Amino acid sequence: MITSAPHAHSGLTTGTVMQRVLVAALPGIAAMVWYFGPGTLIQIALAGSAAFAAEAMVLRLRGRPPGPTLADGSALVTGVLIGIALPPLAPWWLAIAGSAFAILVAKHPYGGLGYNLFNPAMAAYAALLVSFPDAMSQWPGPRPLLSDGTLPGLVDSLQRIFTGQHAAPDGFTMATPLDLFRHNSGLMVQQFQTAHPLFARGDLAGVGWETVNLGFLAGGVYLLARRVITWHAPVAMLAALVLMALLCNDGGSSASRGPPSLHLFSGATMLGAFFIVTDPVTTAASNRGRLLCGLLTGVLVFAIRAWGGYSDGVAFAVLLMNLAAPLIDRITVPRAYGHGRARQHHGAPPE
Amino acid sequence: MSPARTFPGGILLPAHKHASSATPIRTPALPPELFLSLGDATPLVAVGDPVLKGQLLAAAGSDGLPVHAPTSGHVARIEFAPRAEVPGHRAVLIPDGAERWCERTPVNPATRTLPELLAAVRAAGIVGLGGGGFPTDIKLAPTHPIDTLVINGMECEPYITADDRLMREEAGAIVAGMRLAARLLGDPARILVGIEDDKPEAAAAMTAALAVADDPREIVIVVLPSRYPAGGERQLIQLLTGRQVPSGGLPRDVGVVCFNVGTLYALHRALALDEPLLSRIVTIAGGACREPANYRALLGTPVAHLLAASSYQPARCEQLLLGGPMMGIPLDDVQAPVTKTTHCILAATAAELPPARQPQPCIRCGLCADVCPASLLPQQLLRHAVARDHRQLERHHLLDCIDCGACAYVCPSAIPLVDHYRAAKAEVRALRAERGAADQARRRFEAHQARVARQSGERSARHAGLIGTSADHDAPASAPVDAAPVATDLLEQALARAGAATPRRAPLERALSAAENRIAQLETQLAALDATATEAQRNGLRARLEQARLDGDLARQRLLALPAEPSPTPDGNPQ
Repeated sequence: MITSAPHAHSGLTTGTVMQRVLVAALPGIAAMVWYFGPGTLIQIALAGSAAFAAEAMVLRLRGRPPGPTLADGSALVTGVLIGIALPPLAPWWLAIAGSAFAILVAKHPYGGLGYNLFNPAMAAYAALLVSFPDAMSQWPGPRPLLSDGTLPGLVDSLQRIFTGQHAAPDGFTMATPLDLFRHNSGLMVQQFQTAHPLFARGDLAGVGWETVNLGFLAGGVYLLARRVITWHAPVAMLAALVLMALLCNDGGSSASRGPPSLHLFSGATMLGAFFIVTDPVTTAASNRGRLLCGLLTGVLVFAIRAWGGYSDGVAFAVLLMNLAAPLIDRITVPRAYGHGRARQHHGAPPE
Repeated sequence: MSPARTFPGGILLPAHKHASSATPIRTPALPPELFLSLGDATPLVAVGDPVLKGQLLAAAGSDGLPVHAPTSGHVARIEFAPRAEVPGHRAVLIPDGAERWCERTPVNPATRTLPELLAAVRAAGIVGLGGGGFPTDIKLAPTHPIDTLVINGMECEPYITADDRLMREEAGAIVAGMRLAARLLGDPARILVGIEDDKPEAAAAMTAALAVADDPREIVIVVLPSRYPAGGERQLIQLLTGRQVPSGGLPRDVGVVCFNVGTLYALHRALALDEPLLSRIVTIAGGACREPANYRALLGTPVAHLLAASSYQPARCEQLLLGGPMMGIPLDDVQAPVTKTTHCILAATAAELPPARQPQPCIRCGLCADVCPASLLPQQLLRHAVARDHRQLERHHLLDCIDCGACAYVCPSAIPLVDHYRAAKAEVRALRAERGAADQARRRFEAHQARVARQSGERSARHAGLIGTSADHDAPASAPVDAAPVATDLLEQALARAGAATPRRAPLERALSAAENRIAQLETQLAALDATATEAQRNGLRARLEQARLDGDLARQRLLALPAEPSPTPDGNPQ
């Protein structure tokens, strides 16, 4: 066998990278389970196994050895992210349809792992959101706002997810903080926040939602510490969100699009910043490119939340920036060693 | 105050240096045979000749480097070396064990002129011993003013400790060599010595030697953090001076010349003691050697001889490398000789260097870009290399890759990135050369066109001046009238052919003249041989002569097959 330099290797594998991503998602998932019930775990299990099965099937169809590719866990990560993004009590076929779409439409037609243009999880989420808007917006209220026993337990959740028993008014579905802000009618931000229990009992951006976001932020810090991701895209995206929110705040008037804290700690902000925008396959390659990608994603997220047709905009913003990433790569090639400003031209013909 | 700065990227590697750095440099027993590559240098000795240590065996060949006898003995064979670094002949020397020196005439270097010193460096056959192998006398005669002399004592690759041991044991000689180099370079304002922080003993020894030397110049020993590839010439220059060697340029373009400590040691031996470069320090390391150590190995020593001295266990060896784990090349022949650039032989076990995993698709994680010391985007380079998109490869500065392998080391998908880049670099270079040849052909044609036009102009001017008085010429009346139109026709024909014919003609013409030169050279060599030469030598030369003739004939035939080029100067080949 012909070997070539370097002969040494750090030992890091793609599988390890994906494992670290999954570990990093745990605090956020735990917060979701606590505040919104165990449905999220069921969704993750459904979407994860569907993604895994779809990946195995498509690899077989493409005549690729499924072993190493399945073992690296990239399909699993896609499925888990879809499971996190779905409403905890969404019907079972949503998760399966989403995972199938992610793997069969968004990933493999482009060439599979490493070649897909769009983030598969976000492509699937967007497809589900525009196809099944009702089922995709049924979020339960956070546990502290519900009377005891209202939030479905494990058995109840399973029943609801698999048999679709929600004919009777369920009494636990509630608007998300971003939904509420979209439909704010004429209240100053201050009044609004004291008027609604979701904000009144929260510290940052609505009880429950803020904790979930803090969970994903903690996971993001872990990913940064393990050098799975770089700070550029997340920091740029969060900074752009804060900046946009400040610019449009106009002193907390009723026309305000919400304070920066709302945008930072509600919806899919932290999940998007640390788990989605950082997807290396679909974002820009260089750190400068990632800064730019993150920045524009943040601006788009705010624009969609403030002026668009959906209450959250992370998925659409990410998909739009996925489209722009190849162009951003073209304009952000870093200056290599020896290409300084006082660059000397060598090999040029004399005179 | 330390002028140390930083370079982007880099990786922390397990050093594995203690095993071989703990013991003093050993002098191995004389090997039974020494193998000295002659390349295309002309042998000055014949088979059977007794030789003395340091005696010139062959004058400089095309690489400009003479070959000396590393010890005394006799020339057993001169044979074709099939797998030598430089294909060509090699002399096999059988040592007599006496180590008898040829006559040496040490002269205090301080009393000699710079041209004398440079000539002595050239005659000693010194090259960059850090691995570059670039002739030292060329670096010592810079074309640009040099303000900084950088000394490389970094040795950043794992396992290798040759420079470390040399600095500990021969710091005085290294400092003496450093001062000689500085003098030859026109006394640069400062000398910066870079040593990695995992070699405190070496740094201490160098500091002590400098204190003794008491040099008035600014000489600073900078202890730098160990981070691969901090010992790369370009990275070290950036670390110590903050300057970047321009892409495609040389350190002297930014006023810097960089020498490895081993080279300075050799420089001192050559100039102060009149000893040519006969040996070098080689690290024998790796888990498949029970006694890793450094050896002062005579050039031409078979690697197997040094391995045996370190109790090499072939059964445990997974990979035998010439060089370190990051940039070494697999060594399939343990009889290969030590050359001037052999700094390490690594006999690694499977636990140390496990076989490479099956590559997986790139997920563009970007770890490679984080560690690239040249600030390249390895993941993008891979994509463009696979697509063979040469324009994008050049835009992403492929040719500034230094092959350090940091990217492939961290790649979670185990992609052999350096392999991809090497192949792509060869393609890009070939394309560039092709472009260059085309440009040159175009320039040559344009010059030719101008010359033809000028000559035709001169001719018609002469004709115009003469025509009144040329009535007595008995040339055909039509000739002078036709002269100018014929010239323009030729010009037009040539123009029409320009795109196709000229670029192919130029390389053939070069090949032809090269072959003719070689024939002439070999003929004189063959004539000079007669008296003492062996049959083997004579046959070798005859074979090379025959090859050169064949090459020349081939080029000539191909040239004739091309459509004729209008040549205003009919000084073609006599053949």
